[in-house]
Amino acid sequence: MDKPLLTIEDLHLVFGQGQNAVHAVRGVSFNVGREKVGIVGESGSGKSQTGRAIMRLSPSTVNIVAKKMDFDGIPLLQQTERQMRQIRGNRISMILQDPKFSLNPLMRIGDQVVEAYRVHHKVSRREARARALKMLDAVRIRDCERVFNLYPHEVSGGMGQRVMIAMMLIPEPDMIIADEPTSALDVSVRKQVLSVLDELLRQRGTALIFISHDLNLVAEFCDRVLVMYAGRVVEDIAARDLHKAIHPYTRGLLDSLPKLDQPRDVLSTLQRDPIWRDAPTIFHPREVR
Amino acid sequence: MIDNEKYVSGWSAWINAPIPDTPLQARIQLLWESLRRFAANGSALFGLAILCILISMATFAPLIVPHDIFDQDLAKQLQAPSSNNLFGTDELGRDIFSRMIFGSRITLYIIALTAIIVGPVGLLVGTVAGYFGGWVDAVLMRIVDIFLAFPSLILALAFVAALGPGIDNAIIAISLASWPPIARLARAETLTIRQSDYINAIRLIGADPLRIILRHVMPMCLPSVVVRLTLNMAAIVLTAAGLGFLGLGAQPPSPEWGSMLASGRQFILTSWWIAAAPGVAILLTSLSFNLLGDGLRDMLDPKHG
Amino acid sequence: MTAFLSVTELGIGMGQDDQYRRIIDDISFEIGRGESVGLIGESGCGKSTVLRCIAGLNPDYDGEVALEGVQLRPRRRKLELRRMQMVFQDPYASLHPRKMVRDVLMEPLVVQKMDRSEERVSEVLDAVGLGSRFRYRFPHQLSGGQRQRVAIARCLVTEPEMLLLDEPTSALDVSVQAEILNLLMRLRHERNLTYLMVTHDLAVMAHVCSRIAIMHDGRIIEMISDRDIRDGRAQTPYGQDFLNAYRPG
Repeated sequence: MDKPLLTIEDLHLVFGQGQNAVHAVRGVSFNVGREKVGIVGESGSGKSQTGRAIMRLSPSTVNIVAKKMDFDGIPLLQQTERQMRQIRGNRISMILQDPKFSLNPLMRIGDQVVEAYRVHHKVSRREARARALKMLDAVRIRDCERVFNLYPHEVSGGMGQRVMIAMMLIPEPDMIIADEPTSALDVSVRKQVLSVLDELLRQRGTALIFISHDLNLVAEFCDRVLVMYAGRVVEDIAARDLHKAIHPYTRGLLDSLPKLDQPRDVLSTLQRDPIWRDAPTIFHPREVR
Repeated sequence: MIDNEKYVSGWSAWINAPIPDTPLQARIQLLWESLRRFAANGSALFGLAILCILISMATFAPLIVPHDIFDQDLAKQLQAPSSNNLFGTDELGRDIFSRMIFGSRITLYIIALTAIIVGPVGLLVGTVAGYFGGWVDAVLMRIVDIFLAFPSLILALAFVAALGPGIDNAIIAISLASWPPIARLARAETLTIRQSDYINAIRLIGADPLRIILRHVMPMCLPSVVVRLTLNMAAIVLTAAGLGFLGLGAQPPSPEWGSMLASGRQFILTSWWIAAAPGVAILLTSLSFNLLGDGLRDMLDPKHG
Repeated sequence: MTAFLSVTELGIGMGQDDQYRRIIDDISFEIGRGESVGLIGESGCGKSTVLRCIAGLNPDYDGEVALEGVQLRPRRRKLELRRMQMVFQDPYASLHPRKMVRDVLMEPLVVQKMDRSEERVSEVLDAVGLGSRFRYRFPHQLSGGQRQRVAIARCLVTEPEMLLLDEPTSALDVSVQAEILNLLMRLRHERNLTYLMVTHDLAVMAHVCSRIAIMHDGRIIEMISDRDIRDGRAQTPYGQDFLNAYRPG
């Protein structure tokens, strides 16, 4: 793989201080190129915090330290807030879980998409509107003109999430971080939304970090999977090789899921081993193609 | 989750034990956590301190007053603050400092009685209206609306005018004006709580509505009601002072702060201390309740259960 | 085999006059004692509504719900409620935040006037894999999996014959889901319980239930078996589309 877009080396996130300090992320390192990388973990694994740290959107009580956190050569930790604002939404975008909470309920959908563009590009209103309509079409919303004038509560969850994707992709970022983008959606709608996202990412060569608790979903959708546990990456493996995973936590997760093609009377349950907290990452090198 | 034991001493071990052995221990642990949260708030502690001073003043009044509060001495009228009379004397030669201290008893009496009446009544009406909905809700809320339509001082005035002046009537009047917002608040909370799965679960057990309201809904409404009541105390103090000012509260020669303020009004340019002393007392009391209420709100944060 | 639970033409609607629409309509099926049946469908198909009507949370339904041939009144009587309990989806919302575990488990016994309460509470805490160490804890001191166990214990303490399960593992972490599913299966075998479960996850459904009703737009489209789900085979076109859409890959 040629030079990665995002390089993170030894990222640490600590909440609070002293005795009550919570070490949410403990030495995470990975690279992301123009590909889809999934970060999988359960609650408390630190996956969402990692995503937010890249965007420098962590709460003010958090202490972020890393040997390296570079995006396209820009050291993210050294940027001022002002400089980060140029990057957020413009070069790196974020899609959140529930469009009910991430879209402004008081603004029409079209206006929000237009705003997402005009914040970073100085164009006339008319041109921004035309681009917004084109973007709504690109996320396969039929009848864009009508939806343009609707409020978020007037559309379904799946459509709201596609609007979110439109808003995040319209400024043509280099990378998208998606934090549980389909968890609030019905299973049948998920596939639709993900296929829209996939198409747009491929067309534009945008990188994706997909954060989720759903191991199978991530394995299907992404190129590479990072499994997080207790603030560390325990395994870094190509998505199609997931069934060959070695780390006992990954294996434990895979085995504990009920499977349609393997009926079992009793599901195997994960036996947590304290060793996992500090063992080194099992890294499966990318194949040279 | 409560952390592993890190302390050796008895009390610390007991209060931080991860697995409580008795229900009492579990409840005290919870209370301790809440108190620690409260103690972290500086202004709330300040408010509490002022309140404690007030209560001590009221309790030990006969022991600390330097002069008799009814003792008139016209030779000594309108004297400025001095070592003999800390806050000076009023137009009848009475010591203002002593009267202020006794006045705190009246203020606390009004506050306590009002809270005891308004809290339970508002809570009951609000939760019943919110839980049952339908015509019960409609009737109860229209009653609340009627009371809310009047500004509280006017309403209190009307009742006192009808019942006659005096401290107990003033308390009734203030209570009647103060309960509706509590009922509204309790109803709003109940509407949300009613939808929760834990209420559904209790319904499925076969509990009757009264049990559900008393044991399940009310405990959840209690924090907001307590905070609201505390913040309302400030307003109640001012309403009581207002009634006293208008001569409709405690009657002379009773040292009620509001009436002291009223009589001080005509001397304000020459003998400012007569109005200033009760005025500052009213201010500090109101302030302390406001700060306390804010602190209670943080302490009783629903996020912790 | 006589049906343990029989549901006949169950329906419920909402709205006034020309806004009136049926949320569920003409729902009929039977469950034998000890069977495990599921309801599956897209969001908004009404599966949770069916469960709530059967439980008695929503008394305004039309149609009949009967236990062993005896029709249940829409506003359930106490004794009827004892026979059927429900496990809710969100463990963070189904326990009263201010009540400790012991009180949560005691209350059903007090309301139903059952004896030996302390003993029963201990038994049921052991049965769900929590020990008596958990008696005096409050919900915010418990993890999601532990809370769900307490919720299940609360259901079991009155010795019901049937459990209604509303997405019991959807809000839990993957690793905890397996434990709770194993617990539910074990309890069913030990106590000969009858299950009616709602979930959106096909794999969980096939694991737990032997017969599954596919619902759409408030109606039951067809009944299939767990074998059919695994093989991806349905009789109706909608059912087939549904299975195809929901299968991974």
